[in-house]
Formats: sequence, C-alpha cells, structure tokens
Amino acid sequence: MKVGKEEYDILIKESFEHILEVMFSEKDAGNKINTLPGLPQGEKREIAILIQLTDGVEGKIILTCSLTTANKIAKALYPDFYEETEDIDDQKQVFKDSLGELMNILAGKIAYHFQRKFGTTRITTPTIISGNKLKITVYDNNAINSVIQFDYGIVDIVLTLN
Amino acid sequence: MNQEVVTVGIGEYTVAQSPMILRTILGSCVAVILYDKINRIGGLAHVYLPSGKEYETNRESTITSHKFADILLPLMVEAILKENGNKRFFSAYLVGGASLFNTKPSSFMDIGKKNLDAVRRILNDMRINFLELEIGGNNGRKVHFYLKNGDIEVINLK
Amino acid sequence: MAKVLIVDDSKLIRNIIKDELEKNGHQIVGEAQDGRMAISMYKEKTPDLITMDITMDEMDGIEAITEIFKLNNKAKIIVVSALGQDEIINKAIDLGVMDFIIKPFEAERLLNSVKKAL
Repeated sequence: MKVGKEEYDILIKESFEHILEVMFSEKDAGNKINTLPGLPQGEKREIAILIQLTDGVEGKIILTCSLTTANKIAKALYPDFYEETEDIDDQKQVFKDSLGELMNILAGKIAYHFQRKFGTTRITTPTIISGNKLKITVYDNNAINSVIQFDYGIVDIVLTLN
Repeated sequence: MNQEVVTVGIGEYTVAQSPMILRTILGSCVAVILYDKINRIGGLAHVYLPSGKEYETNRESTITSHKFADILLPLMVEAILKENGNKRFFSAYLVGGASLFNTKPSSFMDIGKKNLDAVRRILNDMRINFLELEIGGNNGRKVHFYLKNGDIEVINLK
Repeated sequence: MAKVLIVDDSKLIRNIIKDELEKNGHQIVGEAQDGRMAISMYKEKTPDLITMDITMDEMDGIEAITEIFKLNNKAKIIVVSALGQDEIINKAIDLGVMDFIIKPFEAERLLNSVKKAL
C-alpha cells in the first residue's frame, strides 16, 4: 500500500482548510495554512494523538505537536469551556476532546479520499499520549508525514501504512 | 467499573486486556508498550538488561532470564498473539533508558543507552515500528498504560 | 421544540450540538458517550430525536442504531459522524436513519436536518 507524499500533503492541507473554516470559523482558511517541508529545528513534539485505520487503508495516523500548540487549538475549539490547567488528567481530557476530535475528522477525510482506491476504511477512537515533558519521535520506515503551520502553531500529521 | 491496576516489575512483562491499567517506574530500564487497539489487548515489558547473548559464557549455557530484552520482548509478543492480539494492529512505544549516576552516554556503564539500542534493534528485527516517548536524559519516569483505549501517560520524575 | 438525546464520545461535539439546538428552542434531555449508554438513556428519557456518532468505544453508533430501532422502529435518528464513505452512509440509511451529517458541519446543516426530521 503506497500513498504519494504530494497527494498526502494536498489532502492534509485541504482537510485542514475545511476544518479551519467550519470549526474555527476562519474565513479565507486557504491562505492561513502552509505545508512545511519538515518539522522545524527546535519544534517540540510533546503530545501525540493516534488513530488506527483498518480494512481499506491499513495503518495509523498520528498527530504530534507542542503543548503550546495543543493548548491554543483546544482554546480555539472550546472557548467557553477551556481553562488552561497544569493538572495532567484535566489537560489530557481537554486535549482528547479537542485534538482527538480534530484527528477523528482528519481520519474520516483520509478514509473518504481513499475509498475508491483502497475500499471502505474503519477508524478507531483516538489514543492520547501525554505527560509532563514528552519528546516524541516516530520511527517508521513506511511513514509519510505532512507538517502544517497555521495561526495556532505547527502540527505534524504522520501516516504509517502496513 | 473498577479498573484493575497492575505494576510491572523489573525484568517482567504483563499482557492485559481492557479495562486494565499497567504501570511501571523506570530509571535506566526501558519500558516497551505494545497495543492492539482493535482487540484492545497489549503488554508492557520492563527491560532491565540489553542482550542475553552478551552474557553467555559457553555454548551449553543459554541465558533465559527475562531480564534481557531479547528474551523478554519476543515472549511478550507471543503472549499477546496467543490472546488473539493481531500484529497488524500493533502500536509500539519506548520509554526510559535514562543515564543515572552521571555516566557519559558512550560509557560502557551506560546501561540506559544499551537498553535503548537493544530494544530498537529487536523491534526492527521483528518489523514493529514504534514511537519513542521520553528517552535518555537523567531522570526516572513513571508510566501508565490504559488498555481501555491505549492512552499512555509518562511523568518525568524530576 | 423537541427533546433530544446527543450521542458522541467527544464533549466538544456534544457541546456544539447542544448549544445550537438549545439556541433554537430544543431541549437536551441527555448526553451519552457511547452506544451502550445511548440505549439505556433512550429507554429512560424517551427523546423525540437522537443525534448519533458512529465511532465510539464500548458500542459503536451502527450497533446502537440497530438496537434502538428494535425498541422503537419509529425512532428518529440523525447520524453525525466523521465517516463519510458511501458504504457507511448507505448502511445507516438502510437501517432507517433520517439523515447523515458529515463532520465538520455548519450549524445550519444540523438545524435544517433536525427541522426536517421532526
């Protein structure tokens, strides 16, 4: 199973544009998103959200970003309920609800995009990897990633395929 | 529903199903977590030493102690598969391998780094891709692994 | 004005749906995080309408929809899901749901769907 980097970058960028327009109420979302060639030096990966894909596309989609970005995204999605907290459990639940849902939607878009090529894909609920000082690295020879920069920070979306 | 919490000790692995919680504390040891999210089964191995082969003194003796990564990890994988876990759905994670006692990273004393190298090599040999969550450094870590959904928490014990 | 049960494992989505429906005069009688909870809440609260996610732990939306229709084949269910693939939409429609909304959704899309269903 192979997915080209260019196709993947376009898919992720367009997905984010749609999400930004609808969920973040950002007009002109297309001009507010950049695909970067890679994760910039010094950019932290302190939290990860993972969704397993099966049947059609088989593999995983993994979002990583810094805690700063995660907090900004959560605050933008959840303005009436968001409260910045240092409590690990509270933080985890906020991220799971906000970033987890973002990933759920992204996984749905990936599944939709590839349905003709690979068949119907099932997706799982999100898994969250969190802590107080994580430095996450993904080791996978079959992975492709797309690094998105937007107003809330930088997110890296990795697709690993079986 | 009560969630049973099991502590995984040094040189041990534990395989469990949802909704159990596995936890461990690490210094130079490395925790390897495997999770099949579809079947909601997985395991946590607490690797204490890198490779048993380095310690074999003669051809007749075989190191089978679970302390070694190259014994422990295949055993854990086998145990998960026996419980109907599916390797196709595995996510794998590494935590730990700290350099305690102020050893230099390249020092022969740096068991943390040796454990990490051994675990990486073994997972590569088993064709299991992985994420490294919190590795190296000089601090211990506390790890919680939730079999209900695969969530993992790593707390740096600075 | 309708009594609505919201089913989704994401608090964010439950809040979004709740806000929009309450602003338009509907009453949220319950919120469930998975299919199993949805079924017991359906029996307890007898809502006029259910919004149902598909991807959830414990019991997914398709199974919950099937069970709810067994309890009441006239139940009014609108699916709200990130899964927009043809096979999944067709399956839900064949089961008898009134509409299938794909996330992310505009408020208007949700409100029109609820209006049509009631």
